[in-house]
Amino acid sequence: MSNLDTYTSAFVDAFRVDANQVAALAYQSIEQWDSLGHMQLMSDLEERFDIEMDIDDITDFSSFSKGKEILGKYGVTFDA
Amino acid sequence: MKDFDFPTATDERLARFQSLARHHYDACSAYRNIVDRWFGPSALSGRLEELPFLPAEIFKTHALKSVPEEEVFKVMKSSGTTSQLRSQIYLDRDTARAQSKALSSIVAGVLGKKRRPMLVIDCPAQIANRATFSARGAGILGFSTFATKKFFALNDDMSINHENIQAFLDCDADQSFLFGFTAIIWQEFLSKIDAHSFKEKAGAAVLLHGGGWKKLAAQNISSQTFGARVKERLPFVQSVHDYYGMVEQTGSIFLGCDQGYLHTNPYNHIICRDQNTLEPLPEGETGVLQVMSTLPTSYPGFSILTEDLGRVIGPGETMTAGVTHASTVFEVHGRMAQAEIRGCSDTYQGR
Repeated sequence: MSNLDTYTSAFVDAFRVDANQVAALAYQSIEQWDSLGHMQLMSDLEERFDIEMDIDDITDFSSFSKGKEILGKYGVTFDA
Repeated sequence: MKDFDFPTATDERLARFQSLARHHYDACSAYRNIVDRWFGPSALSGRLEELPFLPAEIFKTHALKSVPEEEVFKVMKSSGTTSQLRSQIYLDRDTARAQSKALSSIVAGVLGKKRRPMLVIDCPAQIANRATFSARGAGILGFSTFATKKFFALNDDMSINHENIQAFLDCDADQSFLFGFTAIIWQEFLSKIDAHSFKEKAGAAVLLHGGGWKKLAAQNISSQTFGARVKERLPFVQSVHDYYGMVEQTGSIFLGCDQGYLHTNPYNHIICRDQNTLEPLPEGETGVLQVMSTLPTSYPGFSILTEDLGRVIGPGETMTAGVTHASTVFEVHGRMAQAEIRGCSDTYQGR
């Protein structure tokens, strides 16, 4: 599975949305991505990619696309 | 308003509070009416204790916001314990972001910037269902940002979960923390364990607690007594920190030192006022507490008269985001008898 597939399925599993909807998601843009959903998504991503994010990055993780940028800092890259 | 980092000098902070007062005066007509009526516009450029303040109650009766409706991305609600009405706090993205950043730099003063294993002294049910989310659940989630792994010390029937606590104690981390609500820790946890229950923990652990002294103050339990009991029952805990905060000023919490006193930090300010005249009181005298926060731009909640009694003790020193700074030391004694301050919002109701 590519990193993008893994990343996408984390959103699909956390928020129960279709894979073709995830790219447009932002924090609080859907009911499921609230503070509770956020922490679930964060710990799930950490587990899947075996990383540990800084506090500031968890705070800044505000959308699907911003998240890809943040994961880049931890060596998780997404081919265009 | 533009993004804001924390001001370190007193006059910078005064300038921030004055500009917040002006911003809300210009952006929120209800706030402007209140200021004109109760304080007069000249208060907007006054000294800290002259700046306008609103009673906390008013957020329960009035929808106060300083941004257009379409910029509101979240409405935070509190369930008041003494009233059926809930406060409604309107957040835009800037204010929400500022709240998260402030909370992490304040908490970093005791926990550092690195995330750690967390023992939640509560039950998992608190965060299981977002529809029944309470202030307790919100607190647990807010502080989860600082956690790597999270363990719940209590089962849903509030019995002790020994396996979870042992798993936390066995965690291979040189730093960890415990978090919970003051009354829950006291009544549901400390009372059920003794000094032999949980002894060994590798690495340093600190305990953070908050959420109101009302119940414990009624039993005459001080912050110092609480801290001493924690260290007696949980010998591996090195320091105990109380925090004081409210939904109207999320993020800019006041954090306590290990001696059991609360400190201001660059994101906030405390003023103690006479219960009857509302004149500022000198150090040492007990009165009603006014809390100020540098954060809220989307709603006029930067200066709020609480219903809590307390007193300012004097100048002190504490650390926020790795910077040691001067602070004001104070303590909270508990809720005041209702009525007195509610008068203000009743007055306003007529407009």
